[in-house]
Amino acid sequence: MNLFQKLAAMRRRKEDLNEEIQGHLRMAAQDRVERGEEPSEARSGALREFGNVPLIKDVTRETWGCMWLEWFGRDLRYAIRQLRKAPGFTVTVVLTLALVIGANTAIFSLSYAMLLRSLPVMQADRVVQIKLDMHDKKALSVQAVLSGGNFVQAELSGGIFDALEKTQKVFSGMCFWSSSPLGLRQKNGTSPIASAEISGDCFRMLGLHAAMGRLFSSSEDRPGGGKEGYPVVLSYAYWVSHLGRDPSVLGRKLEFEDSMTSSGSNTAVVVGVLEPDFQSVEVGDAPQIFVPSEFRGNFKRHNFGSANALVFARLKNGVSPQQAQSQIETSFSTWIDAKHPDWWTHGPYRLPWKDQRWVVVSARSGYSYLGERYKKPLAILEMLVGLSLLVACAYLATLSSARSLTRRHEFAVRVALGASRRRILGQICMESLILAAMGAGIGVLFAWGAGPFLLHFISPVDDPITLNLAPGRMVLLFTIAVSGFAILLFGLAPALRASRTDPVTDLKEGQPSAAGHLRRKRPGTWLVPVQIAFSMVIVVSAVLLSGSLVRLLSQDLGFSTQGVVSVDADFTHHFEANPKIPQNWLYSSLLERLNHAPGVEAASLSQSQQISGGMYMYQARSVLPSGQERTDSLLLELSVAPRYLQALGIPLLAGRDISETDREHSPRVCLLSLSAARYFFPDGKALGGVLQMPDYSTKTPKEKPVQVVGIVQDTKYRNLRDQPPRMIYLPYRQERLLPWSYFVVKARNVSIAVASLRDILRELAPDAILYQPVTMKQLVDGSAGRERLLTTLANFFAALALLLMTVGLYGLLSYSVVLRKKEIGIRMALGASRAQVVRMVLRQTMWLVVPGLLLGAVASVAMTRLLASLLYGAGPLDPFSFAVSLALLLGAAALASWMPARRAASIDPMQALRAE
Amino acid sequence: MPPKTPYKNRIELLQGTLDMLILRTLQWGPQHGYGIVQAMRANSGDVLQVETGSLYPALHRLEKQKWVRSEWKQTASNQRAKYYRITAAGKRQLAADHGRWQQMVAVIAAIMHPGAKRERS
Repeated sequence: MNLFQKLAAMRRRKEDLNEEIQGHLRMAAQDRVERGEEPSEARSGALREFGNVPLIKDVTRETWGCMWLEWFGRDLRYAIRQLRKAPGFTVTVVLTLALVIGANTAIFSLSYAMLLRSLPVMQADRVVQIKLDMHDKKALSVQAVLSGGNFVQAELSGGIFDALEKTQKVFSGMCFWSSSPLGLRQKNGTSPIASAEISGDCFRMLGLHAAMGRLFSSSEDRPGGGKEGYPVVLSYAYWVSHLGRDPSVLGRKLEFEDSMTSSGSNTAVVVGVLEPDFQSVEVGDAPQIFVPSEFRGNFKRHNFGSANALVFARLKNGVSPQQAQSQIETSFSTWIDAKHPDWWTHGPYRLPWKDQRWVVVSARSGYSYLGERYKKPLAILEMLVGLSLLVACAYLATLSSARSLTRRHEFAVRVALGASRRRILGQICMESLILAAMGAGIGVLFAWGAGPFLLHFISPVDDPITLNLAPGRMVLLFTIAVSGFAILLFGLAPALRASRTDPVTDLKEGQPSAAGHLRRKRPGTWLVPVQIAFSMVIVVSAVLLSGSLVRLLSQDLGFSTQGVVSVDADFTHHFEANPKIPQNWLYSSLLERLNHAPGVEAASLSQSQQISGGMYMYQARSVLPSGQERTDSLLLELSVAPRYLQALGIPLLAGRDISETDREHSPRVCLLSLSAARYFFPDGKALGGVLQMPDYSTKTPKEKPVQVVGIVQDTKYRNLRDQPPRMIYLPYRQERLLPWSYFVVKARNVSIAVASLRDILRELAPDAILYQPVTMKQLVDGSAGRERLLTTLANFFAALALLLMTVGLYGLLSYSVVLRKKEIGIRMALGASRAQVVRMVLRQTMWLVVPGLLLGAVASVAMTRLLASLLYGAGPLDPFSFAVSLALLLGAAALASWMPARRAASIDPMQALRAE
Repeated sequence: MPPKTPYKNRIELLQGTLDMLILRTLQWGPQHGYGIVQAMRANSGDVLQVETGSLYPALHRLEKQKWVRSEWKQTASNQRAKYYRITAAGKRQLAADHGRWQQMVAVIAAIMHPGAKRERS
């Protein structure tokens, strides 16, 4: 029986009972009439004899055992009526709760999606990820340089995967998962499509199903694919968004632009659509298509060196991750020692296998690079939203305490009429419950709406993150828990106050009459300092983060971001298709045309991007006249075309730029960044100096001299935080370039320049894939995405906290001025000046604010330590930020006390006293 | 002599005896609430006036225990009234209550008249 049927049945029973009792009364009255009484007397006599009809109805109904339902309904109606009578209060409370509950829900759903949500696969807790714990003391790789030698590498190479799969005995299935875009040929040109190249057993190992058609298996993950060629499985989202759920897509041939398919095929046949729930094993990644790992050809799939795939496995029954780890540790070592003793070499260096360790960890929630990157900011955000919740609850508690104080009379009447404390408590709790439920409802909607906004902040410009932030079961449970907590915090104070109602005194004092003893009834005086303290922590955090973000973005990067756009172009297929065209000739003619395009101020080409791009390391050595040698084995190298400095606005400090005459057979030259010049030539004679660098253009690397022809300003390279690295710029024509490059164009109108680039490419290299153009400004802003997200939200919460604090304080002070009206009147009648009255109110404010600020300062010192690693240019105890925060809070307090103080000063003593 | 009280002609019912009396009254045939009050008063020689505040909760409690069943019927004077009828379970309950009651009467009597010879009925 559902609630409505229950209520209907209840109503019928009540009518029954009523009729039964009315029947009783009629019969009794009739008997009396028969005995000779007057009909009207008989009726009242029968009633008198019967007793208190409603009471008897009540006690009878109690035997039914569903009184709680009735009480609940009655309390609900009563509470709704009460709240409708106070729309201002209701709207304030609901909006405040909606904001903070919504914020808590939004941040939680982000954390949940990034760190906690289980993969929607079969028995997710048996799925593990296999990583390498690298000990690279000689620092051969970029990661090693950045991490100081020890780091856990999540990406493994195909060759290592093969060896692992061959030697392991602890997994019931393994999966090789490499996500990267493929160039899909479509009617309107080639465009990149997010895809995952996965080993054939992945689908089976994860226990995934097809929504339509079928998935592929190991038998099709071999060179050439299955009987019909390579199979391709579409993601459900792609099928819906790009193909309109077209069922005829099965059997369709897709053509790809990828010369790396050395298997000689670049087509694949759609065999199925994957189930809708599954997105990827990597959090935030959303491949649109899935192809067998062999599709990209033998070298890319099976070589030992290029680590570009995640490896997952399913543990056999009864095997723990630790057991699996030790088993693959032994079996893999045996295998690799026998087959590949030089598993990782780099020039003269060799990375011994015995120093490396396998790591087998649970992959219940998949692999989350995002989670690793955002763990800290999310923790801070959780702290900020949690504090906001406390601030809001403190504010609401003050507000509803004040409200319950004004309703003292009403409670007193009800207690006097026989309402039990429990019933009054129940009614107040019902009001809190309704408010919290409404707040939570709106809050969840708000959180849902905020999802894309949050993702926008953390998505890199060129690689959008796809995360499902729709409120699921866990998120809703969290919201309910938060709301319950809020009810407890803001509903408790007024409920307790109401339950302390003393009908005798409360009924007697219709309005407060005397002054002194009423002070104790000022609502929630201890709540305000607490609220101020929490607000201070939020404000200090926001100010610290804002300062850092401003410093991060306004610092001198060494290059300019104004009107500069960078476009990633992939020529692999073009060169494959036209082997006779020399790469350098194509590049130089492209640049020639581009530099003369309308509106283009300077156009150049580089092998990597200045911010968030790849890093190429070279070894270089200088010999000083004194005979002393200086070597840097990890010199950051950038191969560029002429005019690169102009395009990016990097100041040339001495010498000349790279020019078109620095060709393949002309003398080798380079530019050095200032710090590199100072490092290699401490005598200051860098210009014209010579560096010895390995020449990779010949089979047997040997050193060759490179002359320094220019010195340029230091620039930030990897991110905005690190110190500018030592850099060397080499002319692209003297280097062996990989067949993909970044065009860097400075133009008055960036979109016209990009359109010209497209036109020129279509003419000269129609097979090249052009990726989404990104302005340098976007790159720089995007690389501060974490900080920006944190700062924006922190500022939002700080503004909210300040607002709530101001309004709360204002309300409290206004109320106390009303309460003390007579006292103030007496004081003024006795000769107190208006200034003294104002001072009195301000003194009262200070009594609330100063303890709050002291408490807040202590809490801030403790809490801002968490922020340390996210700050830039100032520590977590930055005195300037603390001073600014203090000023903000004091300003808010002054604003809050100004009106009440004026009102107090404008009290007319005659009037105030006459009202007594 | 104890002081005169307004309740002198009323008897405070012992806890639990009301149910028994209702069931006993219903053994003579289905009856409505008012009828039960009247019957009890008549049978007690106008001494026992059942409080309606106890009667109706008791009737509803008995119905919930399934010791009585209720139905709407017309009275002799053509009024619609809710008639209660004792069920088989109710009869068993009445027998059990009756037995306990007699036991209690005997025990109380023995205490109140310590010398008297015990009578068994």
